[in-house]
Amino acid sequence: MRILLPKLAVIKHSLALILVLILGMSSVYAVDEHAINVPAPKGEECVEDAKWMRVNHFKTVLNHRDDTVIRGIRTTKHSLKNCIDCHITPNETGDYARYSNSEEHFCASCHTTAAVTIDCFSCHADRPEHVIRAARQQSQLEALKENSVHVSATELILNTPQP
Amino acid sequence: MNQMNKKYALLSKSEQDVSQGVDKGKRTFIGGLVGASGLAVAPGVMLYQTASAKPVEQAVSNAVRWGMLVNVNQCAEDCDDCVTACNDEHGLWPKEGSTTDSQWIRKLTVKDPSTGNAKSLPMMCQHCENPPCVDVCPTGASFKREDGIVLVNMHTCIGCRYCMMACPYKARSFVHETLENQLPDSPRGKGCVESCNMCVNKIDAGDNTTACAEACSKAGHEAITFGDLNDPESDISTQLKAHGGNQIRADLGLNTGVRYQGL
Amino acid sequence: MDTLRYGAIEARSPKYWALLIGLGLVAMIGVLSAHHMEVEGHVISGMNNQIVWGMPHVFAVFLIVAASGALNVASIASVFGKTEYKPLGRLSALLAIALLAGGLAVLVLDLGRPDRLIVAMTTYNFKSIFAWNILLYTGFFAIVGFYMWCMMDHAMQKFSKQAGLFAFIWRLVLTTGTGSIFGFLVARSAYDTAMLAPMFIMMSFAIGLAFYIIVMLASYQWSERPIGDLIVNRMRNLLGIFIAAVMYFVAVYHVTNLYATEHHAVEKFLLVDGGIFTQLFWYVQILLGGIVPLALIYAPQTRNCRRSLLAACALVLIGGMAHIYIIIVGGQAFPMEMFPGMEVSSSFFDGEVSAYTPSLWEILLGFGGIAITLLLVTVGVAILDFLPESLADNIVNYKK
Repeated sequence: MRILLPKLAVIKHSLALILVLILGMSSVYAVDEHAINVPAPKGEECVEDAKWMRVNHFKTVLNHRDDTVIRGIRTTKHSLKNCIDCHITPNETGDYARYSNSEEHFCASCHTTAAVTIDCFSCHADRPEHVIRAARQQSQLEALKENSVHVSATELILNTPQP
Repeated sequence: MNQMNKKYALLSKSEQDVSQGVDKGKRTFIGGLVGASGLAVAPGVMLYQTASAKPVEQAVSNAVRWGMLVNVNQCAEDCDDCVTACNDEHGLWPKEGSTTDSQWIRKLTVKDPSTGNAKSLPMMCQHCENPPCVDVCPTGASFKREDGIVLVNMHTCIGCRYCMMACPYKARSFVHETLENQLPDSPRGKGCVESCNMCVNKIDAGDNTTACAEACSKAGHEAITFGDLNDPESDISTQLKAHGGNQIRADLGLNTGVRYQGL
Repeated sequence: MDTLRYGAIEARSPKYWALLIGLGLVAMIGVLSAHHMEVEGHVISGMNNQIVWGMPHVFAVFLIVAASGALNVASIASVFGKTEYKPLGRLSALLAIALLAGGLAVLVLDLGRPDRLIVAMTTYNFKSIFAWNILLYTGFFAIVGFYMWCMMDHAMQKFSKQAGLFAFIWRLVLTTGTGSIFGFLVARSAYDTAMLAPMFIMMSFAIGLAFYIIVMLASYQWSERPIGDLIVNRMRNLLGIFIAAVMYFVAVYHVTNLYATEHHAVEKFLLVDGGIFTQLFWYVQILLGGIVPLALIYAPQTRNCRRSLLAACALVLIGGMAHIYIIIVGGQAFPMEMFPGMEVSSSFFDGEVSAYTPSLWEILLGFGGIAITLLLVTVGVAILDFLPESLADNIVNYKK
């Protein structure tokens, strides 16, 4: 049984090797900050110091969240809506990236690299309002189009008087 | 073409604007536009509004208690503009016949079987002073704001649905599936309970009205009056004083913020 | 060989492992169903905005109610001093904990946001009976755990009586709390009564004992340990009393409701024209879950037959399940009386009896909960000394 155990030195060395690898990898990511393709914002500068924001944005958003929901304070400075309005900009083709399926999205670009999981955007808008309104309209039109295949059913829905 | 027009009519107002290429950009512009039409219809209301709007950086206080008064006699049976406006404001899209889609406001037909007399009225969260949903919520996610608005804090809602069991008005809906394209001012998502929030986003922005009240005025019915129940000079208070207003299920003693005349 | 000795059961037989793997599979399928329901949303369940609590809640309440009932066997010995029940105490505590764990697992996995369980654990609204229940349930684990320790550790035995008494009081409060979840809902006609809390306590007595008898007889049968008629017949008689008591409470619940005119509509719905609910009430709850088991227990032809006792227990469980289904789902299906005396209609199904068809996912989740319970018991009796090596009559009669 004893023979099967590796020597202490072997354990030590492999641990050291793993440590070096981890450190090496993280330093690669650390210096590679600019390699992340973070889309450019609309405005000139952030509401807070950009470097500070990079580290602390979730705190400001979280504080503001409770202020807004519970106390009804709706200043724009730290609101998520304001972040989105400024940071989510169209690409060359005029499309707005979604958080869920694109690393072009400002928030997703960094969260993906940093392996951060958030669920903000399962409820909150990940694009400015006018983009969302247009997308909503599009999906409503599509739903109506689908219905029109069965003309009688559509007629029925459209002509049913509201209670 | 006629068919297409009908379909088109299903789209909400602001969405039609978008489809016509009127890019509003910011939410405030849309609010301003709708507000402006409200101004034309009810200038008195607007005048009063400027008097009690709070600065955005200030927390809400219990100096005001927001409420609504529904004049059932003025509510048209075939009109559901309040429902459409609510859906548009909050990005709801209840499909007809769906048992799982959310409805924050609905039109009720109340018929007296002995006389045959039928009335139509909007039903939504009654914003009780003593809300059963707040009492039963295990995490405190269901809460009453200082200004009397009953809300769900969707950051702490665990989706147990006990509030839905407790609400005497069936005012609440549970989000049964993944949602897409929620609006910035009405974040909502799968697994949480939601209900009428008295357009808290509009109130905090100083609009001093709700989407349903606005739409009702616009339709020319003026059946919904929004205002401060604590202010004896407010439109809603003077109307209540002059003509009274019933609570639905008054027997439960909940002191609702939404009152009805003509029931 | 007439002293009481406890011993873990042999866990080496293929039968044992087959049982373990089978239960593990059912539990896993249950958890996967819940996961599927969370990913897709509750739209794939049968629940909707009218029937907001469905099959998972029926299973969860059933198991939680059974949990406090299963503890009774231990209480009878240590609180009421019936020494013949003393050898059964350890299993009673184990089963109580396992049932509660299974029930809570179902309840928690059905949440809209089960990922936020930590919120439920850390933020309390003390006005909510639900929040109190979270404390009552966690407390139950701790107290019954301690009680178990007192029963199993010789050095702790001196606290056994006090721990048993405390656990007994706690379980009464716990079931009152479970019943009150519904009893406090003034808005709904079927729930608005204080009768629900005592009725739930009585239901817990019957369901818990039935569950206990099944687990006990199965363990002794499969581990080939002797069990005498003395203890089995005592429990049989006790079960009979509990079944009768539940039926009494059900009768009082409906009769008091019938006394008030405002409740006539809901009573007519439950007892006469409620479709599935009426059928469940008369055929399953009353006939299969009450009258037939009573007959099996007291009829001279079946009085001493263990098979018929097992059948009676199974029927009590099925009847109890139907009872809880009627309370939870039936109570919601009946339209809310928003405008008493008026006919109400809307796009939100006001004034209509709501339909509910449970989906497979919900049912699988429910059975997953039962499997978790049985899995815990199966593992428990194999690793610790829960079961007496013999429950033959001379052992049961043994006086300290």
